[in-house]
Order: sequence, then C-alpha cells, then structure tokens
Amino acid sequence: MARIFEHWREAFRKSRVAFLGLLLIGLLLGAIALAGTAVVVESTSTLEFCTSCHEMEAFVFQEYKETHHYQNRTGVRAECADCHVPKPPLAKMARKIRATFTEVPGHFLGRIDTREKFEAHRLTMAERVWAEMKANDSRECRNCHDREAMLMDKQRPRSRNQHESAIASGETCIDCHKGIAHKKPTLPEDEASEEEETDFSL
Amino acid sequence: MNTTNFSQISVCGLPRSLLAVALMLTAGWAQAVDWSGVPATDVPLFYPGQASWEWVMTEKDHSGAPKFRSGKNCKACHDGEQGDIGNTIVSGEKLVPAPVVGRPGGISLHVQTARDAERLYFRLRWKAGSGAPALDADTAARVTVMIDDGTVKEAARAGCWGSCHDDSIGMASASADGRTTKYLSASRSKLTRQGGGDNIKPAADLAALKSSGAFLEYWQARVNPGQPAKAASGYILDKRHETAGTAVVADASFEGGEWTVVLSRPLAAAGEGSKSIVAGKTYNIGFAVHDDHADHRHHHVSFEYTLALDGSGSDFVARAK
Repeated sequence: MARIFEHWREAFRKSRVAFLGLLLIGLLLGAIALAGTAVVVESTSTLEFCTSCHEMEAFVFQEYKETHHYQNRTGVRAECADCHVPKPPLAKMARKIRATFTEVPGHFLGRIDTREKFEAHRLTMAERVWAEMKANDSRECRNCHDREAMLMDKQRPRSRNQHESAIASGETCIDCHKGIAHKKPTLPEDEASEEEETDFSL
Repeated sequence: MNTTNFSQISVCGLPRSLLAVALMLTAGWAQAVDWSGVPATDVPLFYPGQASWEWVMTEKDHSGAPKFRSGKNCKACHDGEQGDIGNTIVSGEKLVPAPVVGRPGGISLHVQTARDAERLYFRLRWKAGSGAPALDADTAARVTVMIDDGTVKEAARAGCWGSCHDDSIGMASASADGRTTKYLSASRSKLTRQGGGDNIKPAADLAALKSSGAFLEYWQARVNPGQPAKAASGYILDKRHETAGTAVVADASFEGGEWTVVLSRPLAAAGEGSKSIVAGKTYNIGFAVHDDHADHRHHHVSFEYTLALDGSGSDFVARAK
C-alpha cells in the first residue's frame, strides 16, 4: 500500500499536468459511465423498449391494453417497469443484470417467439413473477397502492371485507390480485375444479 | 288504505254482506298495527335468471363457490351488489337464455315487520313495473315471504336459494314439459349439476324431515288492482305444497303505482307445514316479488335476512305494536 502511494507521489512530481489530466479524464469517464448506466437502465425500462421485442408486443402488451392498469378513469398508468422492475437501486441493478442472462438470451433463442411457445411457457413465467412478488410482499404493487393511503370505507363492501381480512391474516396483494394486467393462466388446481362437481350439500 | 270496492265482490254463494264483514275484520287486523312507528328497511331485490343452487355451488359457474362452501353466506360478498347483479342478468350477459324484455334488473322492497299478542305481520311496498310480457294473465303481482326456523341449513346461508334447483320450471336443466316446482336438496337422495331430478327420498324419510322442521314455509299475497288480495301459504320440501285453507291473511292496496301489502298469520303454527314463531329464536327469511304478471322464476328476489321477535341481533325485529 505504501509503495503505491510512493509511485503516485513520484508520478505527480514528474508531471503534475499529466497526473491531474489523467485523474480528470478518469473522473470524466466515470461520470459518463455512471450517467450512461442510469440512462441505459431507464431507457431499457420504458414501455417502448419492452414492447420492441415481438413476443412482448404481440402477446402480453395486447392483454395489458385491455386492463385498468393501462387505461382508467383517472388516467394513471402503470407501465411494464412499474410492476416488473424494482425501484430500490440495488434490487433494480440485480434485476437488470439477471435480464442480461435470461430475457436477452431468451429473446435471441426465440424461446417464446410464437403464440404456441408463449402459451406453453405462460404458467411458468407467471408463477415465477408471483413467487417473486410474494417474496417481497408485493413491493411493486405497493409503489402505488399504499395500504396506509387506502380509505376502506370508500371501497365496496366486498373489497373492504377482503382487504381487512387479508391484512389481518398477513396476506399480500399478489395472493388475490393475480391476472390483473395479463391473462391469468389456468392453474393446475383450477383445472381440477373444472371437473364435474358432485357434492351439492353444505 | 284498503281500496277494495265492495260492490264488485261476488264469491260463489257467499252473501256479500258476510264477505264484507270478513274483509272488514281482516282489514281491522291489518290496521291494528300502527305502522308509522315501525322502522323500515329497503330490501334490494334483483332478477336472478337461472341462478340455481347447483349453479351457486359450482366454481366454474360461480367463482364464489369455494368461499360459499367454506362458510361465507351470499351477503358477505354480494351485499350492495344486488343492482349490478340484476342489471347484468337482464342484459342477457349471463344466466338467461336471452336478454330480458320489460323487466328491470332490480326492485326496491320497503319492508316493515311487527307483531301483536297473537299475530306476526309483514308490510311490504314496492313500485309496480309495466311493459313486461304477461306470463300470468290472472295475477298482476305476487309478494312472498319465505321462513325457516334454523333447521334448513341452506336458509341461513342463502335464504330461498336452497329451494331453487337447476331442473325446476324454466331453469337451465328443466325438461321441455317439466313441472318440477321448488324443492329442498334434503328431499333428494342424489343431486348432480342438473339438480335432483326424480331421486326423491322415500315417504318415510320425507315425513321425518318434515316433523323435524326441515322445510321452508312461505306466505304469499296474490294481488290485482281493485280486487281483494288472495292469501296463500304452504311449505317446500320435496316440492311446493300449497295449504288449503291458509291461516295467512293478506291485505293489499294499489295507489300511485305502488303496491302496499300486509301479510299476517297467527304466531302459533297453524297446522302442517307452518312454523311457530316464538321469542328468543332467530328465523331466516327471504323475500320475492312476482311483479307485472310474472310467474315461476321471473320474480325479483332478496338475499338472506334474519328475523326475531326480540333482541337486536337480527336484520328484522318484529316488536309488539
């Protein structure tokens, strides 16, 4: 460690301009890299970027367009990143890095680039997202839907009852609100209920 | 309040004067209660289409079925939604073979209940509709109260729905000439999604159910403008059994497009198929109006409500007046 300092002091003594110039260039490059990263992270989180992939535009975007998260009375829109990209910086970076090794290769390998392939993967993808949301207590939902800001008495009786009992039992948003922005896949247990009902007694 | 025109009455054989006295006595009973001091509830009724018990219990038809099976009753989720439900059904979106012409999604029924030393009274008011195709030409309207004393399991949870099955008249699984009336699941040895069909239990089993109180009692007024109301009552077990010589008395008037009907009966059980109404007990009740010449399933119905003669825990408390 001391030897490194020695070298620097020597370089500084040899040419102040070069030393400081190098430092400045380094800082500048660092700033550009930092700003560049931020710009890239943000620009790869826009709806336009996400739907630039055919499989997103043709399948999930069309489903999302039919929902309240796309258009509603108050004009508040939740776009792709609002639900699928974490806001906390570390979590955001982790998700972006993961995307480099999952979504990006997946796109180039054409893993879900046809309707048939997409439908075959729908349940797996949905369950992955649900599991993540459950693990972080529906963090992305709570970016906008704050329990503290909910006026229960302005909700319909059914919603109020469900929310109150969910809060009491420690459930999280995604436990009930599945399939609100994209078509909900048929779950294996739902398929079982599509069999003929046989018991009509209470 | 009673707009009966006595000079138009003629009932085979009975002298008009005798009938007039009888009617005045019944009117007297109805007017024994001072309704102005009795609290009222506006019960939202809705057109239920072909929503049968089997439909309620099947998840792929009714997404609330698992919650219902696990113990939630209808109002726990649907209270406040009666208007939306009725409008959705009459629009033809679900539960009917075609959009419903001339009948509204909902009717508001203004309900009061009271008792005196001997009788239980219901006073029921609603605005009459018009423009629907006449299904029952003889009767302009009917109003019915259904009563359970706690024995019929379905009644506390879903009011009258325990008596409505998929193979009853006009329902989705009814045969073309089927005349199956309302019945309780307990009267059938087997039920499928299409109902209980002809799988009626043996007479001995039905008799045991009846004597244990496992039946629904109904009171009904059949009304036409300018005519005295016709009272009817009976019970529902394996089918609808109408009691000859009902103990229920009905009084009706029609003013300003609004029906006002008072139904009453002695508190003590009046023969078979009727329940004793006593203090300290909670009864499960439901309401239905067959408005504008409706029949069979074309009524507007309520969810489940509770009734007692005292206390404060029930939806309706019939206090002494």
